[in-house]
Amino acid sequence: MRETLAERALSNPMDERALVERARAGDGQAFGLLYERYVDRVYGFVLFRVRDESVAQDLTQDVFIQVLRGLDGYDWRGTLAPWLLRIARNTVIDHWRRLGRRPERPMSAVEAEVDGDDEDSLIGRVADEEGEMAIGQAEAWLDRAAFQRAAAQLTDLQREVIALRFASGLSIRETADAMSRSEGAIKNLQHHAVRALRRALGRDDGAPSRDDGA
Amino acid sequence: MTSRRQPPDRRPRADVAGDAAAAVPVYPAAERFARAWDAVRDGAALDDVVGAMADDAELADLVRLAAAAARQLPATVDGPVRARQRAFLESAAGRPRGTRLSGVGAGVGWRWAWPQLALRFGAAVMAASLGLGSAVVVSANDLPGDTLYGVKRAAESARLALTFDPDQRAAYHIALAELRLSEIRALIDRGRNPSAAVIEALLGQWTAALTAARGAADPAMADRAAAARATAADGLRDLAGRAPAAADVLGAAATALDPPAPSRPAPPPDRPRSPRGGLPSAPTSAASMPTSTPSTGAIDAAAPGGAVPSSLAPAPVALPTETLSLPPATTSAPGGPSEPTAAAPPATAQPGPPAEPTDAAPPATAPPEPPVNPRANERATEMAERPPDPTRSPQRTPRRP
Repeated sequence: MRETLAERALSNPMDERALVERARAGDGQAFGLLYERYVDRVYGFVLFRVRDESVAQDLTQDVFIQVLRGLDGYDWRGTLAPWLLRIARNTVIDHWRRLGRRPERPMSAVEAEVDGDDEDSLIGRVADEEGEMAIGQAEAWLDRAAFQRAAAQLTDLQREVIALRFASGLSIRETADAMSRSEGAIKNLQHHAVRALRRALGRDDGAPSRDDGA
Repeated sequence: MTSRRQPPDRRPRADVAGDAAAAVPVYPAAERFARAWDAVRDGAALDDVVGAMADDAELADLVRLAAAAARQLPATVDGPVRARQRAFLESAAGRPRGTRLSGVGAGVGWRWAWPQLALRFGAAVMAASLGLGSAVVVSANDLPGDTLYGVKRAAESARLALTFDPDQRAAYHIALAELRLSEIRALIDRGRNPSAAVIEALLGQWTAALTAARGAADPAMADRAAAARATAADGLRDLAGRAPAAADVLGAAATALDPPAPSRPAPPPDRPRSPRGGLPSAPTSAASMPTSTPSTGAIDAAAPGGAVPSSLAPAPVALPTETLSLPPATTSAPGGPSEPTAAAPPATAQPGPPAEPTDAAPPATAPPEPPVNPRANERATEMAERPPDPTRSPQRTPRRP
């Protein structure tokens, strides 16, 4: 895992910037290399969000088409990752809108605080939402299908932060950029999301999860 | 195994190191989890990180769960799909700068690309109204002659090649047919004064798309295609009145779709009159419309990277995707953010001056020019040979606002 995580999370900024400049100048191969560098991270995020391989493939291509269109105006910020994943995030949102789907679950209290910045509410509601959990069940039946089923019980924001942090391997800062939120908000959100995922896995007995419109 | 949780200090602290400028205070457990997970992400051994959390078994379990998620959730695009997408993108990205992304005029660049994407979602709503699933329409605003029109058509081809379900393909064909009609309307509405040749080509592609939609297993798709055909005549007549250069072509197409009732000749004395007053067949001058999906492979020729591998391609459908030769439109559009979002306001593209067709930069693998009005006579034949069903009225697809 050490090598996979580091290799996936790190990209040489200098090489990447050169590729971006070459792509802007019309070097198709340079854009192809950028595609190779990020396609799996984009696809992983989108697949986790839409849970359909063919839809995810379509939307992934949409993302890169949008990247190509917007590349001339992109301001280099050290890495393409946050911008790419923000486009991916918006593409998924637009996909749900086209299908007329609504957010699967109402926002949790923590997510409301991510938006509302209410410190007192944050303390109280986190306390209310915590319950007894069985420690050590987290790693049971941890295949992708189990994660997908469990993720169906999460809120939209929780799924998003899990997808960005764990499916795409973004850092806190990159995730914050992609979601247009503060780093503190992302830290709270991811912690809450992982806890919710763990609760969902603890309740998962292999039965099909509630269809949340995906 | 259950553990007794230590009563945590739940009061969030705004002065946690590294988050002094955070808009939202971070509560300690979240901060600790974030640091632990980032350590693992940066290469620290999971066991070492978890071992340092002996005082908080729940937090340690969350870190293990995060590690499991990081192992299971990353995904890889399938090899053939990956190759095809990359080939398409390299081709689109490798076009000369003046024809790839920049419009005519200085400094247009991405500011022009952004409203194009905004209008794309209008077309996507239209596509959604036809009950599409994963099919996505690229843009309704790129018109023949625009610099991105070739990219748009190539994207349509690529999308079609990656859609295997017959009903989804049929739905996508119907959406593309509607797009071709909307392009005709847009060319006329914006004063581009399209030539008869341009309109004929678009009409031919519209007809071909609706014909291809008949390949659906779901009869409802065939009904939709028939309804789209049946409801187009009035619109074409209206357009004919506003497009002098293409009035004849549009009028002929409208007549082919909705022919006037011919006068019935007096029956011969020795033949009983038909109880329904049956209509005679219209004279034909071409072969009848094929009932099976033609397999010319033209769709594959339009896609960058060459033919679709047989392992991926369904029965190829003749859907010409060539770029029509018109000069790029001169458009002006408001500026916007560097990344496209769903909240983009609609574009305010300015119509370009009417111009004679000229050669525009073709896509990387330029498909052959289609025959002029390939289906006009075949359509007339089909409509004449198939009397209208008096029990079915044309249904208009409701358009969402």
